[in-house]
Amino acid sequence: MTTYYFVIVGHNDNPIFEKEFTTLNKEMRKEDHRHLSQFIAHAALDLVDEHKWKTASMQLKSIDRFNQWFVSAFITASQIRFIIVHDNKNDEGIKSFFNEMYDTYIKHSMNAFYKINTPIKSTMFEKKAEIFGRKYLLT
Amino acid sequence: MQIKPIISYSGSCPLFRSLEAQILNAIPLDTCEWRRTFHRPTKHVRLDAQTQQFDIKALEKYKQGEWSILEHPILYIFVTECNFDSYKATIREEIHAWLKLLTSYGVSDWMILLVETLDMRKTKNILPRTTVLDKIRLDFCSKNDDRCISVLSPAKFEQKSTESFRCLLQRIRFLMLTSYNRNIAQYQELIRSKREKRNHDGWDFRQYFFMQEDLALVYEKLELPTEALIQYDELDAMFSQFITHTGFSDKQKWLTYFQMPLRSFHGICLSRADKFEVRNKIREEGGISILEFRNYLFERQAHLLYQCNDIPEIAKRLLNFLFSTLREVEFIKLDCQEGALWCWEFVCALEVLQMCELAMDPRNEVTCFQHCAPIWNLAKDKLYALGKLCGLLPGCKPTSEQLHIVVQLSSAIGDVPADQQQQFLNATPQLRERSPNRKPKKSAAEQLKEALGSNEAFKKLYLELAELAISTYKHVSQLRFARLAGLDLGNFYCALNEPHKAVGFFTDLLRELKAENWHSLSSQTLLELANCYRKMGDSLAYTKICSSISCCAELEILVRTFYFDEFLKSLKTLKTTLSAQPSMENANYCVLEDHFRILDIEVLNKKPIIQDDFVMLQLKVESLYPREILAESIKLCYEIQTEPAQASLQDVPLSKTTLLAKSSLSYINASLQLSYKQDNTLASASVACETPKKSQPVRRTNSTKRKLLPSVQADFTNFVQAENVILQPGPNTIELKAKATRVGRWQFEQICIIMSSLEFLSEQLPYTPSFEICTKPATAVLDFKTLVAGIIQPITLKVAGGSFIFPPDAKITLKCSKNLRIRSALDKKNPEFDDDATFGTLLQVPLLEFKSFEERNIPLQVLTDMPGRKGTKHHEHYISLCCPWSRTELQIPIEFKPAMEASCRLHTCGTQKFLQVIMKGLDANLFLQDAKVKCDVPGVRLIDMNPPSPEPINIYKPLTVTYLYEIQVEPLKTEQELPIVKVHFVIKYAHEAQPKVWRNFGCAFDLVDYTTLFKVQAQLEPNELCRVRSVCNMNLKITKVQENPYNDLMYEVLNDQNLWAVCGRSAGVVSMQDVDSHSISLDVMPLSTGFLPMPSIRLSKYTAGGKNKNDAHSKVYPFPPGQVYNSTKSVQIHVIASVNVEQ
Repeated sequence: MTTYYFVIVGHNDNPIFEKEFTTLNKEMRKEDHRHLSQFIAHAALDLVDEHKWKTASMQLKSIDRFNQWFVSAFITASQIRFIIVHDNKNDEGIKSFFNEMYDTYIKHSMNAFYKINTPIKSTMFEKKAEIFGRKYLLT
Repeated sequence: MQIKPIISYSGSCPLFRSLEAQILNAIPLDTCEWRRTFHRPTKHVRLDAQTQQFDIKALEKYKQGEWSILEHPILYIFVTECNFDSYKATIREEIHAWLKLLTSYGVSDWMILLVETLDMRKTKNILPRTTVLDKIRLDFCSKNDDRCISVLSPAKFEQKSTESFRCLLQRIRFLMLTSYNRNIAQYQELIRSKREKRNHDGWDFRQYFFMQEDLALVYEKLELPTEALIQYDELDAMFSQFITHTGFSDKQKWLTYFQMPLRSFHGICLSRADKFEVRNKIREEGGISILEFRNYLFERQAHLLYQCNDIPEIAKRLLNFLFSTLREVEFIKLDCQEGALWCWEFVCALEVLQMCELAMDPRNEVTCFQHCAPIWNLAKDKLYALGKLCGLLPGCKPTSEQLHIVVQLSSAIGDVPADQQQQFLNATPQLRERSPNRKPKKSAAEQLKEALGSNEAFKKLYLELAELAISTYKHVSQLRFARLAGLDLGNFYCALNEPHKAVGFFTDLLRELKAENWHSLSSQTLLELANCYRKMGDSLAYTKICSSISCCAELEILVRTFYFDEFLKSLKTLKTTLSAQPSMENANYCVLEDHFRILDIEVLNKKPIIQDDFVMLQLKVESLYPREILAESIKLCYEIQTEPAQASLQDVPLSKTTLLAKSSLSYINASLQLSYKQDNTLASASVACETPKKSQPVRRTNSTKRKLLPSVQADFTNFVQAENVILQPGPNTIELKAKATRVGRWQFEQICIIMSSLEFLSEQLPYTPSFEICTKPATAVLDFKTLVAGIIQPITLKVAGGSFIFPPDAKITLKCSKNLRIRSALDKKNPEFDDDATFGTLLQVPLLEFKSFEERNIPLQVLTDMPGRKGTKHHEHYISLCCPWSRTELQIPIEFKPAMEASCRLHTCGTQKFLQVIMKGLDANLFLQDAKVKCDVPGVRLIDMNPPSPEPINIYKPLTVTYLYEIQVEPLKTEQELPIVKVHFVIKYAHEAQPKVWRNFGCAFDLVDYTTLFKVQAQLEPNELCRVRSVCNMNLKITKVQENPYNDLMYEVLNDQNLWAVCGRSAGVVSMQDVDSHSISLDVMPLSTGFLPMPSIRLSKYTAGGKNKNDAHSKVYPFPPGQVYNSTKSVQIHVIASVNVEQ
């Protein structure tokens, strides 16, 4: 069983896209867990912001451990933060996932009708995230 | 366990033993410079040493590559005390053999020590050619003579030996370090080769471990803790790699050694007295578990880090250590008791924290705390998990099974002897001084045991840890983590049934989450808060939270409607409770934005709004409630807009940069900067943005100061309002209104929606439209069309109240100019309508019950006398208005047109005179009657020649009515006596609208020159037969009728040049002096056929010029019409066509 909680955080520390990838079926998934990983992702913003000045790389790798949870982060050039809270190590997969999502995000942000920092409500975006999640995270 | 470099000695062993103590004691007394290979930095090292007699077995091992750098002698010394003879006899051979042996094993770290006992006093006179030392050097140390040293035996030469002894020590130290250079390199090579064989059969990690650890120990001994640490880190990485990657194959049989079942779960202990206790255990067959091994490794690393004075690093490494060890345990698939690993984690965490607390350096306090904070949090979580397992959570009582678990765990935790801890602390001088009163802290294991012992102790420790975690997170400004830990603590307090303590933590978290728009999390927190408030019985807060929850779009609709019902329910009960507690009224504010979304604010009035008018406003608001809700009142307050201070511009000194205006809309604090030259002209304009804080231009945002309660309530003295509005879920459009009371420019500030006793106040309006209220002056205007004099004319007084407030007895006074009279309009049916006495020159119009903004038309009637003057000139009048709102009189000009006009003409018939009065109808339809002329002059009689008419004569435009009178002047009365005869014409008229009211119209005429002085007669000859183009004779006869002073007359024939042609002179001057008549004959010729008028004759007074100097030219004056009578005027001559024409 693996669970990934992926969130894109905007400049005002607000979540603009959230998605969960899990191998668990719906009955097994506990509502509580989802909130916990969300809480962890939120709290990890403190660390992301600390780490991002220390490295020139966009990939921040595992920046935090919270009990069994890992937090991996990615910072785009425009300082949009991608955060994944996960419960098993998968550095390579997460790296590829982040890169693909970065690509997707850039394309989405070029849409003249999308305003930066507002929640992303695009079925295309959602679908892509779903595909990349299945490809890189759940395999 | 002794870790001291070994010095091997051979040769004269008893002699060496006599020196041994002295040498070993002296070696650590001084440092020696260590020049390291590969350009590593040189270092001053204090050495320690132990001695060992030369042993060939060790060398055997060395050669086979199974040696340890710890056990291998670092320096081989050959000691001898000999004279020339003995050297030559035996010692030389011995040394030779010894050196050969060493070389055969590849050892080159040797030294020959010659102890001299020679008495110099005895051999004072004999200078030996060569000494033994020279000999030895010559024999063995041709290349490196520093390996041969002599020393005076301290036993014999106590004083003299000191110098030589110091040289010896120096040499020993130097040679030891040189030896280390070589040996370490060699040993590293050995380790490398060993490591490469790690996948070979029979390779044992433990062997390798000791081997590399020996190197680490040597480094540590040589005061190189960082390099020692590298060795341990390598071992650490290698070990975890083995566990996680290689898995379990037959090759790694040694792995089974670490698969020992876990029986005890001792945590790390950073204050061990015997550091190598565990090391020895590892050596023993089947003695150690993976947990103990890992503990040992970490303890060693921590120790070395401590040596490096890098305390934060210990804390930083702890979490990694814990998690990777747990993973390894998982990989090895070791079964262990539930909770045991939590105990282990907890103890480890606390141990490190205690260490950090004691040894923290104020300089790296923050970095240390940065790593400590998550450790505190971890300890807290683990304790909680243990508490859950053992039934220690609030509200639980441990069952017997759980008690059993506690006993098992407690025994597995193990003890730490108390004296060890003290020892460790004493050994480290840089630890912080503790106050003597403070009790030494209990060890981590003890604390855990105590906490597991009772619910109370558990609670105490948990609360302590949680508080520490939160405060540490806060200290390193990781506020989000602090909030997250606060969430746990809040939940714990809830479980403790102390919800009032939990509220603070939840509220903090909620504030953070709301500010950052993590909606789903904030709605979860709201649910927690609702729970708290319900337990606390704080109905006001509960109501507010219920309201917030019901507006959370993230939650399921069932939850939302449940809380919506709760909200309505408790809102009802709130009414009574609030009135009982007036002091709580400040808390009944809610943030509007959580419940409603303001979509638009629009002022409906046309701009500007007049004072006392209504301000109409359309508010579009989206209700987030799941169902419709009644708002008792919706208010939107507005405040007067202050103009940006422009005046300051003038005060500013010249040629200095001035900050003009700040844009409140911009995200960054940009401002316009204008700099002026000395002459006040603009030099440059720029936009400036100040960095918020110079010391820290970029700082992460970790806390936004958003308030959950709107603390500022705007000034609600002016507001627009709507009452009892039902707000449907989704967008609503509401109209608000208020009376515009004060003049000025206003801006909307805050919305307040009142439901029962709750007030929802907005934080910030998305739109702040402004509007203007101004006053409208009251006006009074007279409205009229063309006015006709002489008859009653309607006129309207229009009063517009504007924003003026009228007193109840307000009135307008109208004052008329002369001959103008005014009255309030009367109806025709009114009997007084025809009464002209109702008109007056002054009129007061009462404005009864006159309200502001009322507009009233007051009908008035004016009447002015018909002036007797001639002509159609307009008559100008004025009406002055005296209004209650103004002190000055308002003068309004009014013009009247005459209703009719009268003129008169004088007609002559011989000597008879007639007066014709012509009445010309103008703008009104009038009836005329009773025309009369009066003349008061005696001797003048006017005879009415008009036919009497019983009916009044109707006159209107463009009708004229003529009256004719004959004037008879008594013959005696000559014109000289009466040069002017005044005739007064009076007539009565009535307007068709008022046929019964007869008003008088009078007109005075002055008659002058009414006497006929001359008569002119013209006759044409032949009279009957006058042909075209045939010359006729015209006889002109001028007769003096009356004696008069005009003697010279001039006549002119004024003919139409198309009709007549005058042959010869057409004009001439005749003198009437002394003659009564004059006849003149003229030749005229008709130019046309038909009845031609007789050429008219004009007679003028003539004054000949040239009689005096002033009057050089002759002058002609015409006679007035009454003085000359042309008797043949308008006679016509029949002219027939000439004969020639026919031909």
